[in-house]
Amino acid sequence: MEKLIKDKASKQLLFIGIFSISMFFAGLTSAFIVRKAEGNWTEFILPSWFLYSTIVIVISSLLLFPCKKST
Amino acid sequence: MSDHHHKETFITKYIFSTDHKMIGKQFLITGMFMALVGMLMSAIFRVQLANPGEASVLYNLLPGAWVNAEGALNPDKYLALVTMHGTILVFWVLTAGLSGTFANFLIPLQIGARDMASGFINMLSYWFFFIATVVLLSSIYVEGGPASGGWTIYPPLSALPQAIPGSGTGMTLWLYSITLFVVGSLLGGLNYIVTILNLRTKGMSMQRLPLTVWGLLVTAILGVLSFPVLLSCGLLLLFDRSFGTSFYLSDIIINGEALHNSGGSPILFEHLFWFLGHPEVYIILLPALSIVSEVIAVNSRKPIFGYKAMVGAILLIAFLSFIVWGHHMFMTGMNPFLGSVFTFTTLLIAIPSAVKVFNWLATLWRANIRFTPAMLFAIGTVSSFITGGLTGLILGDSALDINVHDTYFVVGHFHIVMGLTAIYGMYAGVYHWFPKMYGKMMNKSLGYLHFWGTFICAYGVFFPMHFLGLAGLPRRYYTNSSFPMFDGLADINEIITFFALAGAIVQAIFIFNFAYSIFKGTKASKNPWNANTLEWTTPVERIHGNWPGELPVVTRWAYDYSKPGLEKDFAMQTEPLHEGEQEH
Repeated sequence: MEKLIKDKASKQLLFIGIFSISMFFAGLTSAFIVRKAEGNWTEFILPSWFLYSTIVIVISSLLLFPCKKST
Repeated sequence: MSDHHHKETFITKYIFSTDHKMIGKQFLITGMFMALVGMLMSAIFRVQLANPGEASVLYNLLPGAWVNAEGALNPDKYLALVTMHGTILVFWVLTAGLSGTFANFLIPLQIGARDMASGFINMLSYWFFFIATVVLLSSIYVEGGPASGGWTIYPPLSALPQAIPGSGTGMTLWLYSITLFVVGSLLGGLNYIVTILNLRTKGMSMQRLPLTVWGLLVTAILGVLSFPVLLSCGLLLLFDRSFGTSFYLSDIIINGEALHNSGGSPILFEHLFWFLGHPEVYIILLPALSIVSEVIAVNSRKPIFGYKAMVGAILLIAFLSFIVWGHHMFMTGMNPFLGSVFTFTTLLIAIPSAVKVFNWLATLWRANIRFTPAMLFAIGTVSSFITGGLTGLILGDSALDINVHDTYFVVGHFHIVMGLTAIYGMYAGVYHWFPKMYGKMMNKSLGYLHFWGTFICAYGVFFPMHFLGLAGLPRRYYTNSSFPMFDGLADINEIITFFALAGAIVQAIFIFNFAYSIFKGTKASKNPWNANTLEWTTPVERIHGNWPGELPVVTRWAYDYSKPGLEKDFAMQTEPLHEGEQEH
């Protein structure tokens, strides 16, 4: 019983932590939007490798969960 | 014995402890040390304001380069002292010292848990805080001195390393230090929330939680939502300082040459900073106000008046605190319509605040009051919350605020409503829970002396500041004697400095009482105040795991004082309801 509660608490800790980190990115994003709207913003196209690496990271994250479950 | 209790070495018991009670005490001692440092800084700059440009024996406490050949304080170091005083008091003492101490110490004890959800994360939160402390204090000794642009670190003083001496390495260390501080605070806050939501003992429903726990829970939620935004704000500042970006910099000319950073806006910084900054006021206040609710109920021997309204007020204050930050920025050229919106939301906070004050007064009304030192400080908290809150109505109104913006009126206001209120709440908490922390009683007579000395000196310092502000005296000026229009105010500055120094001396009484009582105080009984909450059911001797054997089972709320039909004037939360007895 105590272990179940501990597990639940750990999961909650993680989710609230993720929410907290998303506030960090919300701050950065709002600053980005405001600053970009002020003008004088250098536009450039990200190399396509950034897109590929992001896709790989997302897929690896998605695979991690079933892999751990199957062991 | 509980599973948690185990053999401990000196290192695991006192240094790298995972016991929430020890971590709470670590926060308290570090917070007290930092309070001492911050208070000494204020004493030093008050001496400069009373005797501008003159030497003082107090300056011997400073690094040599801070004083000129005549023995007077250098103007840039005056700014450094003001900045460090603000930073230390706001973050180190009133945030970590207050929340860190009481959240750690009280949450598991009052909800009936063995420890926090994660003892290890809890320990990390203290050590991040400790390293942040070391980094901040080390910035005092770097070339150019510590950060000097005010605790709000507005750009461009904070964004341009060449702006003033403190804008260099000192400012960089300030940012590193605050980053470590925020990480520590977040680790602590996450733990508090999860512990309260998951580890309450049997019978401890949310409606039976003591108000201290409610206050600490909402405080942690505020921190988890707002501190990361400060982190993003600081990160962009680091980019501007080190990587040539211009988030906050624009149209700056140095020695006739235009700075290459352009297009940014310091107003963006202010928005991000105050999105944390205003909730921060309540991160500081809510724990203190919640401690006061507990101390007042216990020492009035009456149930807290309007428990549900108190919880509702805490929640409403927390919500409103996120939509009022613009009232710090009325002078930034804000659209007047937007200003009126922020005025409206700001003044709305008066409603839940008034509910809290009314409920405290109703609890005190015709009560069988015990005037312990904790109770005096609790009533003092209510008093300063009202006094400071009233001037808040002026500063929250954009039309009125503009007239006293950046004057001593603002300094007087926030020192009373935020500084004094929180410090009094903290003292109330320390006097009240000292027997549980150290198993000893603090000396009552010294406690009374400490309260009255502090109360008189605090008002002696901050009350006259309102008049200085109304006369137009700006804050953060090195000297007020260079302007003939302020010559008539010199006497008031001397009076304020007198009370500031006297107030600092009075705090020595507390420190002596605290240290003396730990070693030589009278041994405390298990429940010296005849209080109801669960922490008073634990043994006097500290054990990791809090309760030997089974955890307590809660059968009633925390405020059954002087309940008709009961033999005693209190009923602990573990006392089963008697036959025919109704829960409140």
